[in-house]
Amino acid sequence: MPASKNPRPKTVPKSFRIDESAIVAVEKEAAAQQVSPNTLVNQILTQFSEFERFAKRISTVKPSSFVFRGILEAADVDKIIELAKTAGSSIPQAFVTAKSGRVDIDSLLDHLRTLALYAHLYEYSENLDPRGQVITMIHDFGLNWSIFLVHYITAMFEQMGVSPKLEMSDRSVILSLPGK
Amino acid sequence: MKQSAVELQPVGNAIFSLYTLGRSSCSGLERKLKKLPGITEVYVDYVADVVEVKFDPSKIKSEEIRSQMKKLGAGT
Repeated sequence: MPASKNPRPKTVPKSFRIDESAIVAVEKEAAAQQVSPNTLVNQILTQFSEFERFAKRISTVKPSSFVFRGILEAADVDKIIELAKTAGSSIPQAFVTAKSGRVDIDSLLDHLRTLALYAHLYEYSENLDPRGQVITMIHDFGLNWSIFLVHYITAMFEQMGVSPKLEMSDRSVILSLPGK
Repeated sequence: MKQSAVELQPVGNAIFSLYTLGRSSCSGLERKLKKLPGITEVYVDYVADVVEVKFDPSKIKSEEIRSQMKKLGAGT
């Protein structure tokens, strides 16, 4: 179910030559997780196709959660807000344009889902009904991360002329969008 | 022109991180989660260490799923 789109995507047989050390590592990990090497290889390639190949275009780095939390705690709130506004008005657009070739509400929401799936920036929950869509992002990076997310998402949707309702606490951000 | 009335059913989708749930392995989690009422699909990504769950929000809430995952994780 990569990026919440297609629960059972079509699979095709392919043959590749792979470095022996790499496949040994995959087989070892597959055994530890009690899944087939096929499942693991498929998920490695899906992560590359859905996230990594676009993330590198925006020079993504991967600090540990401990370091990330520490940097956020040490940062000045005004600087975080300024950074969030700048990032939110450019990064999501660059990411979704590279990925889907279009910028619209659905592709921006897919960006938020993708950040939960592959970047571990929060846990993500969405409820969709005729009244609209409510998305909850839960994290343990502290209040400054919630502040960043609120301003990042606001700037992201401003580009589309949309002003969603946003609420936050020190460990969650709730985004509400009215029904179409 | 008469419009056809298509009623949109409530749909829930949640992505849980296995890091924050404190689980190093998700063995058997998919099968166990699928037995819970209101859960329609479960996908465990062993590379990203996340579990994605589709559910009927009128039958179960994401907080309940999270709590059940923690319970199911204990002892596996």
